[in-house]
Formats: sequence, structure tokens, C-alpha cells
Amino acid sequence: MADEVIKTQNLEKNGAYIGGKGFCLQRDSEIEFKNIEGQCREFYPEGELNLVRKRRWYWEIAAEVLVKVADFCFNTLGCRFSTATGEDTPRGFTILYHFSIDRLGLLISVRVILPHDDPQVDSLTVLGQGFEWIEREIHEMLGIGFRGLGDTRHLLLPDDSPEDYHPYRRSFG
Amino acid sequence: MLKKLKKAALARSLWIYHVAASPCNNCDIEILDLLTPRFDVERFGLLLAPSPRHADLLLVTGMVNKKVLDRVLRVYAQIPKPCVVAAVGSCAISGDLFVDSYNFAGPLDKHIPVDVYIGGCPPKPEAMILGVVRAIEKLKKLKDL
Amino acid sequence: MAELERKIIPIGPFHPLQEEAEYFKLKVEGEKVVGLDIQLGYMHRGHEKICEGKTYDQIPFVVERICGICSTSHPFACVQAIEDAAAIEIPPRAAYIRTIVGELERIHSHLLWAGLAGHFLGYNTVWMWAWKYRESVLEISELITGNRNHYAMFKPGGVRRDIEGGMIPPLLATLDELDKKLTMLTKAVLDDPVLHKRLEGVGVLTREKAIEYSVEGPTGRASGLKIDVRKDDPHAAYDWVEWEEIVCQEGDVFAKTKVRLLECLESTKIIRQCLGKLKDLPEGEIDAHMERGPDGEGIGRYEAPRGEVFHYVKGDGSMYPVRYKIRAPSSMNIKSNEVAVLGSSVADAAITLAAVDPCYCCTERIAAFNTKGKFLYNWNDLVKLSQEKTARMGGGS
Repeated sequence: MADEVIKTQNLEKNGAYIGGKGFCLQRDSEIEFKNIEGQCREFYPEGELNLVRKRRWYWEIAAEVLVKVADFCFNTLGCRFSTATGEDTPRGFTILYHFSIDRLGLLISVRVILPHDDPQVDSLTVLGQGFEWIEREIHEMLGIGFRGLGDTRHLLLPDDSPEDYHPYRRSFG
Repeated sequence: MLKKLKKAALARSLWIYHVAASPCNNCDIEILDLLTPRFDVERFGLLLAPSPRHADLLLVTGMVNKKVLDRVLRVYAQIPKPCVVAAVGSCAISGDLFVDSYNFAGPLDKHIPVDVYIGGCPPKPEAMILGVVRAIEKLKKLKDL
Repeated sequence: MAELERKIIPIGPFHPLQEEAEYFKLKVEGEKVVGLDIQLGYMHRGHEKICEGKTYDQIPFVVERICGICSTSHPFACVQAIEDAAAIEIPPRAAYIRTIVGELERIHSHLLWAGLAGHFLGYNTVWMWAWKYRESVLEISELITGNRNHYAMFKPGGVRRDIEGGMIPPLLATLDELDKKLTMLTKAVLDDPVLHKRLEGVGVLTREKAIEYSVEGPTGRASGLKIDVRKDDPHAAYDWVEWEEIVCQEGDVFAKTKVRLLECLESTKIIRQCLGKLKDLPEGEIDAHMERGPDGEGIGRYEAPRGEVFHYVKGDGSMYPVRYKIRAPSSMNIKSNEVAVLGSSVADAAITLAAVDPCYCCTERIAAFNTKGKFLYNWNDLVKLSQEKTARMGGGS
């Protein structure tokens, strides 16, 4: 049906591109996956890269190299930033940054662990605007400091919430 | 004479003002659905008011959260009394599954007096029409006083 | 129809105290928009924390109520996250049923958007038509799932209800009708020369900015990004049926309209193929019977009508999750309005802001101020300006 409409409207001339018929061979390519794994291990060998499932990788890195690794994922590998998950765990405050390589359907989740007594990490807004809101959300929900995050206003909570009101902390409520 | 005119005027058209507290939008879309050709409540003389100052009936959807509570109270303060308030959907009536949330400010009738409860998640358009009919009946009684 | 336009102004409250903070504060200089400030929080209900206190079979009900329009997208991603963490496979019949329900929702959501966009532009006939055809989709949903919205069809391991043989003929008949009406609506919209003039070049989001803001869904696909979770991260039955991804290059509002309308036609194609395959699978095998909570991390994604819905779950083997993360697509897309609306005229602001398909209630809290902070227009006024511009160009009604 859509192809009929596209033909009668001459939409190819107007720039409608239809792609992805049926299966996408590149998506299942073993070589591509091995290639990316090699690049990650070579870039930061000290990190713990865990290939939990074919399309779900978890990469634990030191907080100091976060901007370097995120830049590698966002720019060198060409990932799209999906979102970040903040969590209060016994090991410390964990932030998982989820980067997606869309053409392979691969999600690389980069994990940093911050100490409970002084959770601070560099902001990734230097790489792009897409990081700002989620950092503001993690900042207000967990009380984690993002060095270089210009706008630290409340995103979701009421503006008059007290300073130490962090609903996602285990000590809350 | 004026009283009869007022009563007759009310029977002909009812101005509805809709305020969304913190809804998932389902109830709001079903309210808008009432205006589409299938249900078409305009033929009953129900119109959406552009301002609370012209409204007879206030429809509130969604769970009242702490940030939006102020706005709901302000809108209620501006509606000329007597008016009828309808809580549309389970979230406005009781908070539904959000009762445990840290951002929940309490069910709607904790903050403003509610006259009609239209239950459902979301209430079917037929249920909303029934709720509005009850509201009209109540409003008629109120305005008679 | 002119009568209808005058009486019904369904969008937005008139806020007497204009100094109050709004969701979207447009900064206007003369006739041009020079800035946009976005404030959220009015819809924050604390879903993630609530999910931590619910069992895995209760969570799909909780996440369903995040958004009423794309109400099945969140449970779709949710059950995938749980199944990813538990590493279980669902039966093929369940996969087809999930796909059918997901695509029905996509059609209804895009038609809803098309109707509202038509209204904002002054084409109230488009609004009434789009919502009228939408009713037939809601009726089929009620036939299959029991409710017009909030279907409650998904559970970890499969689906809750089967599509029985008797439901398929009315479904196919409705799809045939829908195909005709959708093609007619699409051609009417894409054919209208005033709409071309009105929407082309308006609210352009370039490819570079789209990547920087990490947008997704039809907003990204209209700017030349070839991303669609249904193709990229195959799940349910999307890999077993033939369909096309619609990508445009211009990045303006017209491209976003094209993408959404053409996607509806692809959706009917997908549903038809899934119904055909269902006939060969025995009825009743719709659940993998997940018996214990997952131990580990799982991520589930789904292409909602607005973009990628992302759910992350971390379990410890018990029936309650340790952490549940939800990210709705609008959180990434709405921010891109900061650049898309810059430089456009005030009359175009309404349709540009609505083009990313924000949740309906967000549109209620849009207001425009001049650079000195003086209130100029509320949402009603912005819609009126937009409708007047279309009328001046000779279109509308």
C-alpha cells in the first residue's frame, strides 16, 4: 500500500527513502560483532567487558575515564545514546550509560561505580545535548554530582523539594 | 422570571472546563473523543470552555501530584460557584496504583469537593456521558437553591 | 465546519496568572521565536519506584499507565526486559499476537496525531476523519483485548489472551476498510499544495542536530536517521514478516507527517501477514510460563509510535525487581525542539512543537513570552495564529 502511495505521489523525488526490506544481513554478521569487541578491548583493556548476550554487553570502567570511553562509543563507534540508569547498590552509586549501535541492534552498557560518601563524576554534556536531562534526573534522584553540568535545576521533582530529598536512595523513606 | 431563564439556559448548554492534573492522557483523549462524530456531545449543548471563569462543570483527570496541585487549586478558585466537579478516571478518584508514590499528593477529594465520580481506567465514553448527565442533574438542583 | 471551529477550543487552559512557570516557554522577538525553555515535572508520578514494590506479573499493568496513547509500548518493552534477564523464549503464536497488538496501537496513535495536527493547522475535517477512522481501530482492539486502550495483553513469557479463529474475519474486514481510508487520507494530505507550502521547510531538524540530541522514532527518521528498533533489535514477529522502514531526508514537519502516515500503511501490511501466519499455529500456546524471577540484568526495547521505549530491569531471583528503569521516547525527542523551533515564526510554533508528538497534556502548558518576559500568547492563541496563517494561504476547513 505504501509503495503505491509513494509511486503516485512521486515521493522518491521528494526524498522518501524506503529501506530495510526483510532481513538485514549486517545485523547478524559475526565479523562485525567480533570487530567491535576487538576495538573496545584495545581501546581500554583495563575495563571489564562482559558479553552477557549477543546484543547485550556490559562494560565496567573506572569513573576517571568515563568521558574518554563515552567519546569512543559516541563518536568512534558511532553509537546513539539511549539513556542512563542510576542505582544505589551495596558497591556504591552505579551509573549505567546505555549506548546503542543501531545497525547491529547492539547495546553496550558502560558502568561506573561511585563511592557513597562523595559521588561525583564528569558530565557528558561536553559530547552532546542528549545527555543533559538524564544527568539532571540522576542528580536530583540520587544526589550524584556531575562536574561540568551547567543546568542543575530540578527536572522532575517539585522546585521546593528539600536539598537532601533523593527518592532513589536506599535510605529514602 | 430570571430564575426560569437561568434554569432553561442551563438546560440548553453546559460549559465544561477540563484540567489535567498528572494523567496518562487516556482519559483526556476519551474526553476529546466525545466531540468526534461517533459520540458528538455538542448536540446536547455541551461545550468546552476556554477559561475557568465561564465554566459550570470542572473535569479533572489524572493523579494529583505535588507540582500540579497548586494549579488545580487555582483553577478551582476561579470557577464561579456553584459549580460541579467531576473526578474522571481512577487516578483522580483515588490515586489508582500511584498511592505508594512519593509524588502523590492525595486523592482529588482531599483538596477540593468532588460531586461526581466517573470511574474507569479509562472510563468509556458512554460512562463519561452518564457522568455528565448526573452532573447536569446535580447542577440543576444546586442552582435552584 | 466553521461553526465547529469557533466553538470548540479543546486545547489548553487559559491561565490567568501568566507569570507562572509553563512547560514550554517560547521566547519571541517580533515575529520570530528566539528561544525555548522546557520545564517538566508536572507529569512525574514515580513509576520506577512503584515498580520496585511490585511483582513481575504486576509490573506490565503499572507501566501501561505511563502513557495512555502508546499504552502497549511500555508493557512490550517491559516483558522483553524481563525475558532478556531471565533468558526465556516466547512461543511463536505469542510473538505474532504481540506484533498485531503493537501495530494496531501504532495506527491509532498516528491517526490521533494526524487529527490533532490537522486541527492545529485549521483542517478540522482532517481531525474528524482521522479520529473517525481511529474509532474502527479502537473497536478491533476492544474485540481482541477487551478494552479500547490499556489492553493488559502482555505478561512475561507471552500474552494473556489468544486471538481466536472467530475474531479473524471481522479483523480482516476492518483492515480492508482501514487500508482504503488510510490511503485516501494519506493522498489527500500529501496532495494538498497549501500543506506543502505550509509545512515544508518548517521546524527543520538537521541530521547533525538529530544525532547530537539522540532523537529517535519518526522524528529521527524524518531527519535521515535510519533507526527503527523493530528492524535493528529484532523481537516478536518483526523479523518474520516483510515490511519497509520509512525514512525521509528533509527533517521538516512535512517529512514527519509523511513518515507517520506511510508507517500506518506498513502497519496494516504487518498485521495482515501475522494474521495469515496465526492460522498455522495451534491455538492456546501463548505462554512460556515463567516461574521464577530473573537473576541478573535485562534490557528490553520497543519502537513505540514516538520512538524507542527503553526498559532496564535488575533482578535477584526473587519475584520483586531490585531496580527498574524506564525511559520514554519523548524525553529524548522533546529536547530537540530547542533547535527545531528556533527561527520559525510564531504562527509556525504550534505545529513545530506538536510535530515531535509530545504527550497531549504537554501541549496545554505552552506559552510565548517576549524577550523582556512579558506574556504574549497562550496555547489557544498559538493554535489560532497557526490556523489563521493556513487560512491566509488558502487552505483549511
